[in-house]
Amino acid sequence: MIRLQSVSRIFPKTNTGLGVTNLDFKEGEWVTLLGPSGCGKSTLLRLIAGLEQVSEGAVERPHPKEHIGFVFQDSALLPWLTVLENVTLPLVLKGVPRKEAIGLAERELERLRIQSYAKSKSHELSGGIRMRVSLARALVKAPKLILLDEPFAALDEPIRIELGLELRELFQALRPTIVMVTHSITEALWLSDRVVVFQGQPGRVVLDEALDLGAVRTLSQRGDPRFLEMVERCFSLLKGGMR
Amino acid sequence: MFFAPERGYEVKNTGTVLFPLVPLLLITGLSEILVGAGIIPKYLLPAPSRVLSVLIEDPGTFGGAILETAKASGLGLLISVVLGLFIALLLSFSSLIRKMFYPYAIFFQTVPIIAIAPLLVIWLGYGLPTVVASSFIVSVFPVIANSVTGLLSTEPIWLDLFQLMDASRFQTLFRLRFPAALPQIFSGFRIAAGLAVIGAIVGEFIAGTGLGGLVDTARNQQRVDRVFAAVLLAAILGILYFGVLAALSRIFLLDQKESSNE
Repeated sequence: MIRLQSVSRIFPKTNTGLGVTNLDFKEGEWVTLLGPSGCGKSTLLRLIAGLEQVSEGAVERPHPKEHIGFVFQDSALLPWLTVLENVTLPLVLKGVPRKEAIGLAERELERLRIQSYAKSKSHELSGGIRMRVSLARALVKAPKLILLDEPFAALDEPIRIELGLELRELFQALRPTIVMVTHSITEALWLSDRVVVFQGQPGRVVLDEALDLGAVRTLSQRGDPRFLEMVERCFSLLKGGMR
Repeated sequence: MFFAPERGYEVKNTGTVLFPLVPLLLITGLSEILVGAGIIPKYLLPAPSRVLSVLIEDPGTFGGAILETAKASGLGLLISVVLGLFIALLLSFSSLIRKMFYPYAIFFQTVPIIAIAPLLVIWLGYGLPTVVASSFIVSVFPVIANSVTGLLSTEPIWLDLFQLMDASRFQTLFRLRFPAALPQIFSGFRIAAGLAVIGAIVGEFIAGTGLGGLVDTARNQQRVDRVFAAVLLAAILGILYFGVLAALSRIFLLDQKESSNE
């Protein structure tokens, strides 16, 4: 379990960041963080990953760094490497033998259905494919914890939905802990098991609610009255926070 | 419609080559007319046709001189590239090393080469070593400065990525910072290319060899046409180095943006 105990991280110049927060993330749970810009959602991800230091409090994380997969909003692919080289990179840096690293990377490319792009460079890829490569790179180490920082933000709606569904299937199969940040209320409620809504600057938790949409997600669930009611509730909270 | 982008690209490339030729032809033609009509005296500015005649009449002297300058400036540039890059890697590896030595690299840049060239002759004698040293001194700083800037301006998101992958400092330097800095490193090489020729010419003024020596002798003989011919060859040499490095950078940086305009 990942535990945030009275954690805060404030950026004094802008008075933004994360206000005092207590949160637990269970193993194998998909939690999505919702909230306006500057409320500290991405900061919270970076604190969990160890990329930022807390101003106060403590982050308890059982996973060593090598068991964390991080997907950035910008796919952050290295343009001088091919798709295959980008995906093998985490393994190569860990000292995994080249042949084994390539085998593992090819398995991930196949899983995300991008094996035909193995020799391409990032500038030759569409936004959706770039994000798949970024996911493959995060998954290649078989991480126990996956942190997703607005992974679908730059994608068109149909690709967002397609990739979201695939990611949910992968989650069901592999059962890592996922903490995702998004601005999309629908996406947050549809894909995850639990939603945490932040408000204000610095941000504080105003809603922490588990959802019960079942293991398998379908598009039709987005039209369910209970789902829509939850969307409205989150919308009101976020709208209230912006006033 | 289908071929439109490719045709556009061709026009752009042709323009890159042709457009700079317009002012060159204008100035050349104008000076030919002004000197020919006696408006500008020949002892101040030779007619472009006269400069070409000088080159054709004495190919041995000019050919030998340009080869000497090419050898010295080529060696100076090569040492600048290798040593400058090595120094830049050291400076970027540790902030302590950078704080200790980078001010000296800047100081080195401000020392006028014309003032220390006589010292080089005392230390290294009249000949190739002095000219190579002069070429190196003038051209090494842009290699160091551009490379250090490039190595230290890696995208923060990539640095985060490498931190998450638990990369060592060596891995971060050679697998991330260095390839990410290549556009700026090559930009430094291209600046150094022109400076290497300038440095060699200054060294040759003192050492009395190559195109620099030829300029000095022609100046003493009031042969402005020979001075211009030597200057023209030096400029061609600089452009040649620049072109070779620009071509190399295109090969190496197919996937990255250039950091300077060409």
